[in-house]
Amino acid sequence: MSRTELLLQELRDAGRALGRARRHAAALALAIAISGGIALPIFSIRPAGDIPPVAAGQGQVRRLLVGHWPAGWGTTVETPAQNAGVLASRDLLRTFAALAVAMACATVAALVLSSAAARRREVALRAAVGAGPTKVLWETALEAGLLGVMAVCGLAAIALVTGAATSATRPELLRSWLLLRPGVAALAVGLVAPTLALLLFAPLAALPAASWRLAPTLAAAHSTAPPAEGSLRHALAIGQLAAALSLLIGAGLLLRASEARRSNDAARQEAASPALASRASLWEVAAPGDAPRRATFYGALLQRLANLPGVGAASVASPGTWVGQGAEGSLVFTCPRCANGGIGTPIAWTQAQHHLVGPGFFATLGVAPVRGRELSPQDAHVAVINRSFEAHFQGVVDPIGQFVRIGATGDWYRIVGVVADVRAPGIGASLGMQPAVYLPLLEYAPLTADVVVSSGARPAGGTQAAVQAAIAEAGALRAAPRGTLRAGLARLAAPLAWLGGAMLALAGAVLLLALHGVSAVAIDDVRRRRRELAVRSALGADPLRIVASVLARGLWTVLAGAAWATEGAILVAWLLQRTSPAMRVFDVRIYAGALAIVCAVALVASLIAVRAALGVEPREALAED
Amino acid sequence: MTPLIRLEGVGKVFRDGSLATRALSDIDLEIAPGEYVAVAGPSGCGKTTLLSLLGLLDRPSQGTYLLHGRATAQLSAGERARIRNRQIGFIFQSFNLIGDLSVGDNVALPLKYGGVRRGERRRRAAEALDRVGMIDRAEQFPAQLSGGQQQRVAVARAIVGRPPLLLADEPTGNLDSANGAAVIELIRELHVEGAAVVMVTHDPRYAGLADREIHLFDGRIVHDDRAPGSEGDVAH
Repeated sequence: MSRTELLLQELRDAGRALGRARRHAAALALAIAISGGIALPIFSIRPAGDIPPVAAGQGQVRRLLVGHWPAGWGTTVETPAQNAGVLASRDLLRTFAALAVAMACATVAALVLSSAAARRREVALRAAVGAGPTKVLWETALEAGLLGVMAVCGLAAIALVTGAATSATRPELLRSWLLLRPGVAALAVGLVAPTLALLLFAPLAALPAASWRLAPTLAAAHSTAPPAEGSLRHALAIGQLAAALSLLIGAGLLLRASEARRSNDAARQEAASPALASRASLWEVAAPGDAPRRATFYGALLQRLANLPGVGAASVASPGTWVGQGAEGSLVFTCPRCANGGIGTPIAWTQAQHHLVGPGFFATLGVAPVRGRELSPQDAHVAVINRSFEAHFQGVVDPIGQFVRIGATGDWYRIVGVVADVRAPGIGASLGMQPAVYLPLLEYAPLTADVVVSSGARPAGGTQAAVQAAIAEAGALRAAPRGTLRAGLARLAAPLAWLGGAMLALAGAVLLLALHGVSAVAIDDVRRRRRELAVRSALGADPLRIVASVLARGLWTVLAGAAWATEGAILVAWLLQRTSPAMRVFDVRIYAGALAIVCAVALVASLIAVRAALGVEPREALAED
Repeated sequence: MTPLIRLEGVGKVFRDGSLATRALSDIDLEIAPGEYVAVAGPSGCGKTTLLSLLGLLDRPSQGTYLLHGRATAQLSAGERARIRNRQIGFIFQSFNLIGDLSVGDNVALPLKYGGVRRGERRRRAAEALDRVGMIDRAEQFPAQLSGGQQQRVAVARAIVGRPPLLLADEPTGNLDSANGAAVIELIRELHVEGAAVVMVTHDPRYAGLADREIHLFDGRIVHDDRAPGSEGDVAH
């Protein structure tokens, strides 16, 4: 027989063997296909360009101030594409996808061990009639190889679907940035890792049955895993439940945070200024002429807008200020009693954002000053700082009346007020609090600016045309409506919801894998307890008691998983909070809901084992061995 | 003549943590080619352990086991498998058929591992099944057969490779008397054709059919027909 014929024949035999163990084979292929199919697209997400700036022209802040900018004004502008928050979010998603793949590998290991345990006697018998360890290894490797090919086909199909879904659901803000282009990392994690786990585990799990003492295995009535192997699989199942629970909680917290961004925060802001978050509208305007003429234009524009019927408040600011994104640089400030390492330092410095704001800007946003006041039309060489900046005064100095300078050689500005932190929501947000200083826009009038118009109690739509007309009449070179602030906030929060959805999908996949793992462990447990269950039954145990004893073991698995998951969930939430600072780490409803879902899944898995337990025939089981 | 099997001071100890159980002690035994030996003794006396050692399914804890004059202690797992495939046929008490394989495939399994071509395997498996009267069941699966039929298939599997040594562990233990007698008759026929048979049995009727009886008690041989002073002899 030629080698090709022999190989074909062995492949046929391997196919038949897989056909005989089709339930196990399907479970294995599914575990690989699901994890790889989800991980592959996630690892294929790569930046292909900049995210569009939140406000048009933000990338050219320095140019906006051409011929008339404050000395030391920073040239580094944080846009979402440069923001570590976005990259960190992508990396987090990858980490979670890798976790899902790791769980799939654990499932593959558990299923392979389970399969090897079920076939232990068969393998021992094959060895008894002449199959050496090499032959057993070769046969198992062939079966694993065939199964791997099937799994990869399923994986490719799932990857196509999840890739298309990922692409279709990408939020507008990330659309130009994320491209589904698989690279080496994507193929390694999504494709190779789970398949390799199968190809390595399967032969290794089968080998002991062929190499070690054959006699006891052949004499046993049933193929069961040794206790150590059962414990390992139990630990794997607990790990899967813990991972699923952690991801579910993480996804829930993220979705809740994005929901809060769209509604709760707005509600909070509406409490301060009823019209702002829901109805305040945003316009991008280009001012005419040189700096003095631009200042005159902005002053006249604000005057016109304030006089418009239906307008509650109106103001202007450099692009992106309303979401806390702008130029960034080094700032020096006076702080007479501040100390650095125990040494008094009357002059200190910090890295901070700097913005230009018109009079009444924070009132228009609904952000009331915490201390002092905000800028007025007559202000020059004064500044307002935010709470994060105020923290640098170490609580020993009142910042009001102190001075701040942009860069090492710029002018000094007297601080007249402190306002709450304003920052962008969503995964494009800065990591942590960002100190900021606000200078008078009418002193340094930019080429373009954001105009915010609060329409009081009336809907914005009612005053839209009037606002447009007023901007045009003031002599704007260009004016473009940018929608309401609420729409802008929702747009910024969309990536957060998307990340939450992606995590939810990952959690679902891990949960599915956990269902496999828990049911395999529970069934193996029943197999191991066959005789014990038969004795209980023979002694008159009520079937309900047997059901309860099986379910109790499942419950222990869930509780152990939940104990681990609590720590895992806090870690996941903490990692997520780094990209979305407003997210809450503890939310009882989310934790309880996720636990309920995992319990339900574990219950379903245990019910499969309950069925097997109730199927134990005492007469047969007691006659065994 | 070189004995087919020679055991010198063989012992077997099973260890489970700190607990050691001595299953066999100081077994000295020679079995000639073509000999029909019955191993008897009470439960737990080490009969099955002895058969497992003879069949290279396990290794002795001490002593020497020579098969065809060749020491087996240093054999690799692959070499042991090759010897089991070519020189030994097993008949287990619990049949040990693979439930997912058809009767024909079960019988052909040793030939597959012996590298026999598929067509040849089928032909020889059919011959073996015909021999035990199960040819019409070749396409069925073990679960569809009675205990007696399953044991006959197991006998067919044991003889399909024409091994010089047949090891039978309580081959009638799970069978009624009619099926038991039929299987014993099959084994006797194989012996008549030249195979050496070592059969573990509880049943004195079947033990009496062998050329030689060995009795084990507490892991030691307490009676051997061929031992000095015994009257037993090898006879076909």
